[in-house]
Amino acid sequence: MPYVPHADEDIRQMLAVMGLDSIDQLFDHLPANVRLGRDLDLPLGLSEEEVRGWFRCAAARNHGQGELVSFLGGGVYDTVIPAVIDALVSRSEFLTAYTPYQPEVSQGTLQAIYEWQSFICRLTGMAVANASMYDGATALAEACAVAVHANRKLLVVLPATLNPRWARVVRTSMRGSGIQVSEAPAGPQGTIDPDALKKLLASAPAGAFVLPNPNYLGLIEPVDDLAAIAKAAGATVIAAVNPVSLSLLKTPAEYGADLVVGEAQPFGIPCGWGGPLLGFLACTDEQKRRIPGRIVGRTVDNRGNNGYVLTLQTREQHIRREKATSNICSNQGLNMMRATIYLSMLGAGGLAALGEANRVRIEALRTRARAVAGVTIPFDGPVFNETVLRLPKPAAEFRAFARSRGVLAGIPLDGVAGCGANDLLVAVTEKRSAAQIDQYGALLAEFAAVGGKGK
Amino acid sequence: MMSEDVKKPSRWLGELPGSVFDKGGPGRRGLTFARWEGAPAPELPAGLRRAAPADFPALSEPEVMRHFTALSNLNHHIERGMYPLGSCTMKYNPRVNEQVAAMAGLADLHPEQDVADIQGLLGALLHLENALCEITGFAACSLMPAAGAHGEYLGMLVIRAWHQSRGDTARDEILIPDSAHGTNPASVAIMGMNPRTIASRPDGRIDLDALRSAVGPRTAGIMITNPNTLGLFENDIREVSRIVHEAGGRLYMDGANLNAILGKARPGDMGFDVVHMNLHKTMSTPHGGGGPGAGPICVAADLAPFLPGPRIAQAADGSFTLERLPRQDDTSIHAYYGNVGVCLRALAYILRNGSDGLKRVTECAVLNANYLRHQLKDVIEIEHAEGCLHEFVATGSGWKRDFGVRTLDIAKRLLDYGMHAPTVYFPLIVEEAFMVEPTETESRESLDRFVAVMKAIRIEAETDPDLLHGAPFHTPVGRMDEARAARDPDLRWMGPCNC
Repeated sequence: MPYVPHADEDIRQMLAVMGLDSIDQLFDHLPANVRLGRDLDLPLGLSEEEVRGWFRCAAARNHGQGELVSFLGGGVYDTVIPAVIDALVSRSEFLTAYTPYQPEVSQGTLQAIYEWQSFICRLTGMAVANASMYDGATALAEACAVAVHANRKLLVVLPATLNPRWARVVRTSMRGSGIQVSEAPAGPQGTIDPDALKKLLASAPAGAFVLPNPNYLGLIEPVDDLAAIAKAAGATVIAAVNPVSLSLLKTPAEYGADLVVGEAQPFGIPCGWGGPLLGFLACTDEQKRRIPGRIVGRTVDNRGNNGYVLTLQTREQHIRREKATSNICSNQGLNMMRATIYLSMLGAGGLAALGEANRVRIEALRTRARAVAGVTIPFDGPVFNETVLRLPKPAAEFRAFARSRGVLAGIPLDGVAGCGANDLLVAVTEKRSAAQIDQYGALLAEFAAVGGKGK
Repeated sequence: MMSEDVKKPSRWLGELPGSVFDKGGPGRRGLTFARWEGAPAPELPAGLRRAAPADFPALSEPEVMRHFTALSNLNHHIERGMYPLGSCTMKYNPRVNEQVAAMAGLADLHPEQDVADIQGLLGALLHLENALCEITGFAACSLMPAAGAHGEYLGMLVIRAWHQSRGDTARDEILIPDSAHGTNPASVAIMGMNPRTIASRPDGRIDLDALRSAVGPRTAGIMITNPNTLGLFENDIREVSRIVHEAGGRLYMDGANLNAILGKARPGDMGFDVVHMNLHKTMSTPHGGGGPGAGPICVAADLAPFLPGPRIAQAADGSFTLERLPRQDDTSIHAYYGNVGVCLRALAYILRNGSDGLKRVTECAVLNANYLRHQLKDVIEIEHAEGCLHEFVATGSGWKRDFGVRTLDIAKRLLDYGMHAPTVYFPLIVEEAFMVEPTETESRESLDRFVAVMKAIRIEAETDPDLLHGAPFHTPVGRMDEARAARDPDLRWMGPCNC
């Protein structure tokens, strides 16, 4: 058997030590009425090479972003992953280590978590960050729960410009807890309508207001105004950010967010069909004893060394059981490690360069798209690395056309935040070249020209 | 086993590395990006910019490699030594799993791609779902939960959605034995139902009389870990199932201990309605220092319509599709399909083992646990006389009484011998609990070494208990001041500590 060290003779000897002669005797006490009594209806085991072959065959039937040119985003992005990440996280010391409950033999993991928390605090401007969450969507759901439990107003305001996949997870999570959810509409600019928000908050006191930035349409929200409106109404402000954008954009701390969540997948984690990803959660000092998830703190040992431990554990399920702030019992350890290595590689110099690399490319794509007759940019506000294009024909048709040329053109937006069937969400990361963006422009022109109805 | 080897605790290599924020120097670069050949972009308006750049350190690639390698050297890990962690199933993580999950065409798929571009992936995931259903004896599977606790949460949502679909809205209680893992009551509470604790018998098994008096019109269901957290099988599980079903509730199985019953008994045949599996335990995917894991659930046929969607299906022409279910959004707990990369690793493990290998996994996991239990019985008091399944619970209460040495001290001294500590102080119903799960991937020599080390520590406890109170000595750091960490939290780097 592949991973069991024992030979038959070892088993025989071990059984003999216990005075047994058959392994079946160890299962004699299982009640007869629940025994399977047959073999599992699965194929017999394969050799390692056969397993590799099985997956090679499966992978060959897929067409990934390594083969195609991807302009897909919407929360998950095709980004540059430096080789050092795989080299480091494939070390057994990181890969196979357990949760760092024994700090004396887990300082590597613990210090890395502390450094991750420090990177996230510096990026967001917040005072405290946790050791990571499953993904951005679940991090947001947890943040909403923290906010409403802190101020005891059982209403969460989600804007129409929030990633609809995230909104769905938040709605599932709020439904059971008796927390209401209302939607703040988008204005004609594709960003949250401040007047409508003001009215909504006046009509019912909200515990939390979720402020996505950039929003799902790629647009930078008027964060100062929106946060001020929400805070004046007594709502806790939860910023939901693309952390890459914080290389350049105003930090959530600067516009007064109380909690910050986001999806850190772009920091060195493969898209992997949407999982595993890497959520993060940060907050003001005031909220630190309310947030879920593991948190690492620095302290000293009995030899006078500085060292790290899991701390503030009285918040957690293994101590508090049903009174815990959350049922979360893991973080995204290895993906957090990937992101921490990525941020260390990026460094002070790389951070600004990364932000500019994203911005220059999305601006190039917007310029190219504007020049195509029949294509418009319906929301012309500032963006970071994503934009909406309005096409002369259904976006799904352009997506199919571009795919036939080896390009993943974007995500059709029909029904999202006032968008229609002809609207497409396009992302451009640091990984796309000027030539690929030119090719995208040429595909747009070709598509718009063939039977295009114009605008 | 050479006894002098045992007496030599393993010394750790390497020293404490400094903080990454204290390394590198201005202007140094690790990561750089392709030169941009296009036109420059207009300036970002000042009002949108952050006031000051984030204060990141600046390191070159070799410095980054050295920093994280130095960190890694401070960790215990499976290749360094045994992890006898009860309830955690710290088995060997096959490297072919890593290889296949990282393949181009799998790792580089975007979740918004067309179904036509991901046929191989959908086929693989459906294969896994079907295999998990066969292993657990259920009709349908959702791979969406990102961890075991996430699976518990989804299972509770599904059970509630089923009750509500029948107009049965008064059922708000989930019964949980007091031997359960802490995530069980927490998962119930956060989704707005009420966990109701029922006392278990001293062996952690369910007390049928307590159960009979607890069920009623408010019973939505029960959560049971089987085998339980003492490594013992619920012999009366069919009767438990009958009682709960007759009261109108559904049965949820916490599958944390599935390694004990692969190919031997199936939750679906025991009378359960839902089970979650921890793929990072039973199916060998790496713990990665705390994640990512995966906690898929399998359910009985009548609960399948309440699973989150979309669901993978196979059309008559053999192609794979993603089908929307009418109620799929009510229970969606993840933005996409789940921790797919972890699921692919688990599939590799299942294919490699096959039906014969999985059965052998369980047989040898149970063999190893019983062997260790047998060999340790004169060293530390074992909680229950009968044979265990994949793990057993001992108690350090005798050591505490006789030598003034607590379970925590034994655990810390084990670290000095190059072994991870077992799970201690859980389950809560056992005093000074010391819970051991060796898993099937430990060799006989490895188990014998654990026994020899435990004997050596017992002699130390008898002759020099203070040695144990101060342990560990040979680890990179000693016992940490956890009270200080909680009292005066230092949670981000603001310069070298003057502690």
